[in-house]
Amino acid sequence: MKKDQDKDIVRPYVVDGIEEYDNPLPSWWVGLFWGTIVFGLGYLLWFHVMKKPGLDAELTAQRQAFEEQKQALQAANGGADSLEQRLKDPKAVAEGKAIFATNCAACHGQLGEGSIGPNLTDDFWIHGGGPDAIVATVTNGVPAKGMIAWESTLGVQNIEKVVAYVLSLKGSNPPNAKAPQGDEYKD
Amino acid sequence: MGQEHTTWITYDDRTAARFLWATILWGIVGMLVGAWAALELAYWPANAGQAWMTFGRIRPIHTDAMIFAFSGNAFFAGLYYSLQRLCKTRMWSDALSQLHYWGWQAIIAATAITLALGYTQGKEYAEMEFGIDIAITLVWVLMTVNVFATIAIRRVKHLYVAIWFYIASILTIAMLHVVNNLAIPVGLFKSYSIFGGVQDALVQWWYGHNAVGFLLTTPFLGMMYYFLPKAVQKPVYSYRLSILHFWSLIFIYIWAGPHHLLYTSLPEWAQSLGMVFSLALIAPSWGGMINGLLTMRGAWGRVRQEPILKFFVLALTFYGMATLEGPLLSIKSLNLLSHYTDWTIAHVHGGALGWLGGMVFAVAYYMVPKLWGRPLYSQKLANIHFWIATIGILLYVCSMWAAGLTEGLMWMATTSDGLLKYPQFIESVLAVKPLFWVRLVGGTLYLLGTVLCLYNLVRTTAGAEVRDERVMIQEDQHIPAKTMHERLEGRAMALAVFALLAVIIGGVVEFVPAFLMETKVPTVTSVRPYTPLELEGRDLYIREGCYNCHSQTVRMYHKEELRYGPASQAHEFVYDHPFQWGSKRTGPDLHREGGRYPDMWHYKHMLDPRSTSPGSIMPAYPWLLEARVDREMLTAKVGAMKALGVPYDADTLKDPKKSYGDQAIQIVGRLAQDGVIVSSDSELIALIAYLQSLGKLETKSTLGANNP
Repeated sequence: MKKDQDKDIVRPYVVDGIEEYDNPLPSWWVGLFWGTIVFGLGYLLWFHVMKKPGLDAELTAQRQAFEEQKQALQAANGGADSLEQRLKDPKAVAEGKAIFATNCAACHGQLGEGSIGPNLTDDFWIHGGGPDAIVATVTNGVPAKGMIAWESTLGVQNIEKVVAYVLSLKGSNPPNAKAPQGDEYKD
Repeated sequence: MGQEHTTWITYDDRTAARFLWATILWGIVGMLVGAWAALELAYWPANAGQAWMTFGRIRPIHTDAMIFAFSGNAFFAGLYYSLQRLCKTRMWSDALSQLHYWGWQAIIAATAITLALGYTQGKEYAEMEFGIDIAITLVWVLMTVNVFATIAIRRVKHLYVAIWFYIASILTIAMLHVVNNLAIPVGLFKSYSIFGGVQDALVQWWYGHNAVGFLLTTPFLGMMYYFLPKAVQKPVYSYRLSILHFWSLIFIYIWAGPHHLLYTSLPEWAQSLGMVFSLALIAPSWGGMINGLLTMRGAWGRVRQEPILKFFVLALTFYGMATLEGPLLSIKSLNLLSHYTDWTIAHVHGGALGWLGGMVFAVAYYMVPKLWGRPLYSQKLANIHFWIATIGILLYVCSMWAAGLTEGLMWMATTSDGLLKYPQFIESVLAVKPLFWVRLVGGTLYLLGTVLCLYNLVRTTAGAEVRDERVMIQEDQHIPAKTMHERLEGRAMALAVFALLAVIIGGVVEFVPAFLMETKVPTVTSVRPYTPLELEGRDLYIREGCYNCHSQTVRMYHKEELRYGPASQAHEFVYDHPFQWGSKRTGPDLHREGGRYPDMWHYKHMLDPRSTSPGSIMPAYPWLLEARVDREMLTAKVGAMKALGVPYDADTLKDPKKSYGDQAIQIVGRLAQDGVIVSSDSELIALIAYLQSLGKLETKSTLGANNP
C-alpha cells in the first residue's frame, strides 16, 4: 500500500513560509462536482425546456382534489337526520364548545357575550338567525364586516358542531353582554 | 542573478490588532443583543415596554452586528495581518488604514443607534438607511484602494490563494451593496428602494444570500488558507483543488439567491435556477473543507492540546455541515417544509457560531501572541472556551432543528377530511416555546465563552504593546509560470477582472428576464396603489420591523391556501417598495390579512395581542396609539413613489393630506361605534389601514388563479 505522503509534490512557490502540495483531486469530490451539475442541467431541461408539470400544475391538482373531497364530505354529511336534528345533538353541542373556545371566543367572547364580534346569545342576528343562515355565515364569512370564512379551516362537520353550540347559548344572558345588533329572529 | 537585494520592512500590525479588539468587543455586544432577542421570544415582556427594545427592532441590530461588526472586523483583522505578509510589504497607506478602521467602527455604532430608533430600509441585512449606506460605500472604496495599492507594490509576484479570495470578496460585496441599496431618499432618515415587489425580492435575496457568501464565507476561506497552514506548520493539501473550488465557488454562489423564494410568485425558472445552483454548490464548498482538513494530516495529535487547532476543526466541520444542509434545504420539496421555520435559524447559527465563530477564535488565539510577542495567558481557559462554545452550539442548533421540524410538520398537518389539523397558528408557537428557552441557554453559553476569550486575550496583552513586526525581505525569486493559472496569479488586475466577471454573470442572467417581466404583469389596470394613509401605515410596519416575524406571501401550495387564503400573485406586490415577504414566520403570514378581522380586532390586538390571540408572544405596541403621524411628510412620500412609477392621481399628489384624513376618519368612526375614541392622527390608525389593505389592492380580482 502506497502512503499518501509519497505522492505529495511541493510546489516551488513559497510565500511567508507557506508551502503547497499539488495533490490530485479526490475522485469522489470530482464525481460530486459533475454529478450535481448534470443533475441541475437535467432538472432545468425537464421542467423548463420540456415543460413538464411544475408548481402551477401541482397547485391546480391539489385544489381539484380538495374540492372533490369537500363535495364528497358534504354529500355524505348527516345521513338521514335533518340539519335541525343534527344541531340538537348533545354530542355535537359538547364538541362545538371546544371548537368555539379555540376559534371563536377571541372575538365573540368565551360565553358568546360578544366583544369585537356581536353577541351570540340574544335574539338579534345581523345576517339571519335561522340554522341555515348561521351555518352559511360561518361557512362563507362576511368579509366586509371582518367575519372569517371558516369553511376551509373547520370543515362542514365542525361548522355544524360549533353552530349547534352557538344555538345552545340562546337566552343564556351572560355577564357583560354586548348590546343587540341586527334584526330580531323568532323560531 | 548574482546580486542579492535585501530590504528591511516594518508591517503595520497595530491596525490588525485594533480590528481584532473590535471583533471581540462588537461580537460580545452583538451576541448579547441576540441573546436578548431570544429571551423576548421565550418571554415577551422582556422588551420592558420599550419600543427600541422590541424584537422587531433588535433582531436587525443582532444580525447586522454579527455580519458587519463581528465578521467584518474579523475579516479586516485577518486581511491586514496576512496581506502584508503575503505581499511582503507594509500596507500602501497608513492613513487609509486608519480611516478604514475608524470609519467602519463609526458605521457600526451609527447602525446600532439608528436601527434602535426605527430608521430602517426594511431589507434584511441591509437595514441601515441610505446615509449609512453611502458611508459604507465610501469606507469600502478607501479600503479597496488601500488593498489594491498594497497588492500593486508587492514584492512577491505570485499571488497566494488567500489573496484571490480577498479580491473576490471585496469586489463582490461592493457590487451587492451598491445595487441592493439603490433607493430614493425621502428626508434625511427615510428612503424607498427603487426596486419593487418580485424584482425587489430577487435583488434582495441575491444580496442576502451572497452577503453570506462573500462576507461570511470567502473572506474566511482566504483566512483559512493563510492561518491554518501557519498554525499546523504543514503545506496546504492541494493547490489544484484550491483553484477549482475558488472559481467554481464564486461563480456558482451568485446564482443561488432565489432558493430563498421557492414556492413564491417569483417566476418558476428563477426558482429552479436557485435550487440547482445551490446543489451544485456542495462540491465547491466541500473543496474548501477538505483542503483544510487534509492540510491537518499529521497534526491531529496536536488538536488535543492546542485550542487553535480545535477551533479550526470546529469551523471546518460546521462549514461542511452547513454547506450540505443549505443545498438540501434548497430542494423545493424540502424547502416547503423547512422555510419560514426555525430550521432556517438552526442553519444560519450552525454556520455563524460554528464556522465563523470557530474561524474568528482560531485566528484570534493565533494572532494575539504573535502581535504582542507573548504566549497566550491560559491555554486551559482557551480549551474551556472551546468546550463551552461547542456545547452552546449543539444546544442552539439541535433545539432549533426540533422547533423547525415541529413548526413545519404542524403547519402542513391535515386531518382525514383534508383540513388543517392545527388551523390556529398559535398552536405551533405554543408547541415550540419550551425550545426557545433551550436555545437561549445555548446562545448564552456561547456568549460566555466569548467573554472568557476576551478575558484571556486581555490578560495576555496586559502591560504589553503591539510590536510592529520588522522583517528582512529578500528579493523575490523569479520562478517562470508554467500554466495559465500561474500566469494569472502573477497579474492581480487580470485576476480581479476575471473574478468580477465570474460574479456578475449569475446576477445578469437572473435579473434581466425578471425585470423585463414587469411589462407582462397586469399592473395599472388591476392593482391600485396604497393610499397615503396605507403608505404611512406601511412605513410604520417597516419601522417596527414586523417583517422579522411575519411573512407577506402565501406560497403556491394548497395547504398554505387553506391556512391563509389564495396564493399570492406577482402583480399584487408591484407597488411594494421595498417588498415585505420576510424570511421567518414566528407569527402567521399577513398577505391575506386585509378584511380578515374588523378594525376593532386590530386595535385590541396591537394594544394587547393576548386579548385576541391567547398565548401570543407578540409584543404590545401601546406607543402607536399615542404617537402622531407627521402629515407634512406625505407629499414627499407619494412624490417619491410616483417617481418610482406608482400611478398616483393628480389630486393625491397635490394634497395627500386630504385623502389621508378622509380615510382615517372612516376607521376612527368604525372604532367609535365599538366604543373607543382614537385620534385620526394616531399612528395606530395608519397601521390598521395598511393591515386592512393587505391582499386587497386588486381592483379586478384574479385570486385563486395561477401565476402566469
